[in-house]
Amino acid sequence: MADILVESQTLKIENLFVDGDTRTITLKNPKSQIATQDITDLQNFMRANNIIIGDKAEGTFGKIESVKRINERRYYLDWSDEG
Amino acid sequence: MAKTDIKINSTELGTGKKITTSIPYVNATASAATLVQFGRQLNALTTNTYISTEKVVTTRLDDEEASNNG
Repeated sequence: MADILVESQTLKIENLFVDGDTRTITLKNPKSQIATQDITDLQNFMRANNIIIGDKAEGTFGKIESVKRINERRYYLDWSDEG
Repeated sequence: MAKTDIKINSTELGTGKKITTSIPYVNATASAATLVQFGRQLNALTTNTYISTEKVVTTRLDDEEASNNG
């Protein structure tokens, strides 16, 4: 029996606060095409509504610092034939 | 002191598997409509099918016990 390969993708949105700290939101199964405007709209929404991530005070959200797509490949080894 | 997290519930395209995305320490004073919109906006960046947004408020019991004992 062959080893099993599982591929997955996550999106990591790094949020920068005024004190220099960052907090990350991780989303599974990101779309293959994400427009810059979608990220800008999200950032504007977070500012306008005082959305805070992590243990930060209200009104301290600065900006979305970066957005990364992480591709992951996991190989599940088949050792069922071993004694 | 209570802390507020939100959970975005969705299902994975193709498999139907349930996915829960947790966002810790979201603004506790935001309205339900705002939190739902936030959940939907984040989910819109994925291929997952949106189901709901939950607010989870956690209170540390040690703090409650301390205030009850004066």
